[in-house]
Amino acid sequence: MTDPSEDRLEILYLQHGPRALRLAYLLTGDTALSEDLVQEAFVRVATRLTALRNTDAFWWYLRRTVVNLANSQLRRRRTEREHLQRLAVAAGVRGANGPDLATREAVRNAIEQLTPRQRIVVVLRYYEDLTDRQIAAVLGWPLGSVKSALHRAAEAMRQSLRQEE
Amino acid sequence: MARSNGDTLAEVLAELAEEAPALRPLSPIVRQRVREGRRRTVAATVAAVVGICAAGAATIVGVSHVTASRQPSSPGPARSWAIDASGGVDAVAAGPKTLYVATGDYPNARLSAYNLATGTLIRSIRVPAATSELQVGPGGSVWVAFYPDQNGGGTGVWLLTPDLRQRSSAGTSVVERIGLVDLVPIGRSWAAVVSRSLSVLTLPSPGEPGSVKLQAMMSIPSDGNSYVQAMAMMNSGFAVLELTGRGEYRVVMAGSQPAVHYQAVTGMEVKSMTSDGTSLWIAEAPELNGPYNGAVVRLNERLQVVTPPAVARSRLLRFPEQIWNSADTVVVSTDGPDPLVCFQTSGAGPVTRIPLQQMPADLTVSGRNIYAVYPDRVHVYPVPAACQ
Repeated sequence: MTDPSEDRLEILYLQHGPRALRLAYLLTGDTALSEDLVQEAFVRVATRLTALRNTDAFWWYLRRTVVNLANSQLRRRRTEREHLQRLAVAAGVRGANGPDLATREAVRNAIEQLTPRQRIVVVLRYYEDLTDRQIAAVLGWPLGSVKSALHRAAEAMRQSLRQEE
Repeated sequence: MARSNGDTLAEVLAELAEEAPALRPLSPIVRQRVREGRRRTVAATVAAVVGICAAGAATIVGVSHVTASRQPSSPGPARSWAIDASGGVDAVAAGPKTLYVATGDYPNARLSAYNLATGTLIRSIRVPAATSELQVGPGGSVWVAFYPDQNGGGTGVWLLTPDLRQRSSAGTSVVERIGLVDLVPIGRSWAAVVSRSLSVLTLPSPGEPGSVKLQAMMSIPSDGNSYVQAMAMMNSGFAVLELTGRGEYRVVMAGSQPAVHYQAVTGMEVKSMTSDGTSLWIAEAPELNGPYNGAVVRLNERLQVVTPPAVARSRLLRFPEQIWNSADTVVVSTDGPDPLVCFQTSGAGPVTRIPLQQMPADLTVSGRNIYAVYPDRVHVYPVPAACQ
C-alpha cells in the first residue's frame, strides 16, 4: 500500500521541481549540477517540513535552499564562469532569432561577467521577479546589501555592455 | 539599470531558463533519504526535549558559571522611540544632532529626520525613488542619492539642509555620467564621487541658485577590467575598492605615486570598508557560503596590513558583514552567532559583543551611541566601555 505522505511528496516534487530546476540552472549554468542540486534541496526541505500542506511555504523554503546550495556549490567548484561560457556558446550555436540578437548576446556576456553574489540577486530580481525585500528574505541578507549588490550588478553590466559596443 | 535594459535582461534570463534540463523523476534514493531524515528529525526533537529538561536540572543544581559566560557584555537599549518605517528601511545616517532614516519605495519613498537626543520627528519629506546613498557631510548637510527600483521613480542626487527644509539637486544626466557608485561628502556643498575616475560634484547651497559642476580630480589605478565598488576618505587621500576582471577585490589609493594596493585573497569579498582617518578597516568574507572564514583587516595609509592581534585572532569576527567607525570605536555586524560586536580603533581592548534584542533593518553609529533602526522603532545602544 502506498504511503500517503509519499504521494504528497511526489505531487510537491512535480509541482515545484521544474521551477526549482530552472532557477538552479540559471544560478549554476550546469545541467547535471542543477539536477543534483534540486534533488538535494528537495530532500532537505521535505525532511524538515513535517506537515507538507502549505504549498506556498514549501516553494519559499525550496527556493531558499536551492539558492543556498547553488552558493555552496559554486564556491567549492569554482566552475560558474566556465559553465556560463559554455552556456553562452551553446546559446550562440542554437542562434536566437530577431533583430536584437547582438544585444541579447551582449547581455548574456554581461551576465557571465557578474560575480556569483551579483548574479544571484539579478536572477532573483529579473527572473523570479522578487522585490528587494523578498530577495533579502530569501538570502537572509540585510536590505542594504541586496540594494548595493543590485546596484553594483547594474554598474558591472553597464560597463560590460559599454565594452561590447 | 535602465528599465528597458531590465526588460531585456528578464527576457534573456527567461530564454536561458528554457534551456534547463527536464525534471528527472524523484529517485528512490531521494525518497529513502526523506524517510530517514524525517525519522531523524523526530528523534532529534525527542533528544532536544530531554536535553532541555536535563539542562534545566543542571542549572538548578548550580552550573551558573556557564550562564554567566553568556551574559551580555553591556546593557540593552538605553532608550528607544517609535517611528514608522513600515515601508522598509533603505538607509540610515546620523549627523551631530539628527538621525536620518530613508524608507520605502517609489512612490512612497521618504526621508525623515529625528532629533537624536529626544527622538522627536523633525521633518519628513518625499523622495523621488528608493534611496541608494545617504550621507551626512560637514556642517550637517545631507546628501541623498536615489535611483529607480522595481516600482519606478527618478534618478538624482539631493543636497539638503540638516532640517530637510531646503535642497539643491543634480538630475539624471549628471548621475549617468558619474555612475553613482559611491559618494563621500567633503565640504558643505561638494562631494567626491567615484566611477572610472575620482571627481568632485559641486551642488548649489540648498535653496540657493547656482549650477551643478562635475570636475575630474584624479585617476584610479585599474587593470582595465575593474570596476569601482566603494570609496573611503583617509587623511592622505581616497581609498577605492575595486572588483577586478578576475573577480578579485582590490583596494587602491586614488592618485597615489607610486601606486599602492591591497589585494584580498581570491574568493574573499570585501563587504564593507570604513576609514578612521589614518587607517582603513575592511570586512572580508567568503564570496559565497564557502569553507573559509572572513576577517576584519586594518590597512595603513600605504595599504599595508596592520591589524591588531586581538582583532585578527577574534572568533567573533569570522563572518563580518558591515563595518562602521565613530570616534575611537569600530562596530561590525556579523553573519555569526554574535551579530554585532565592537572594539577600539587602537586595537587595545577586547572584541566585545553588543547584545541586540533582534537584528535591525539598518544601523548607524554616532558619537558614543549605536542607533539600531527597526520598522517600528529606533533603539539606542551605548557603545560598551571596552570599545571606547
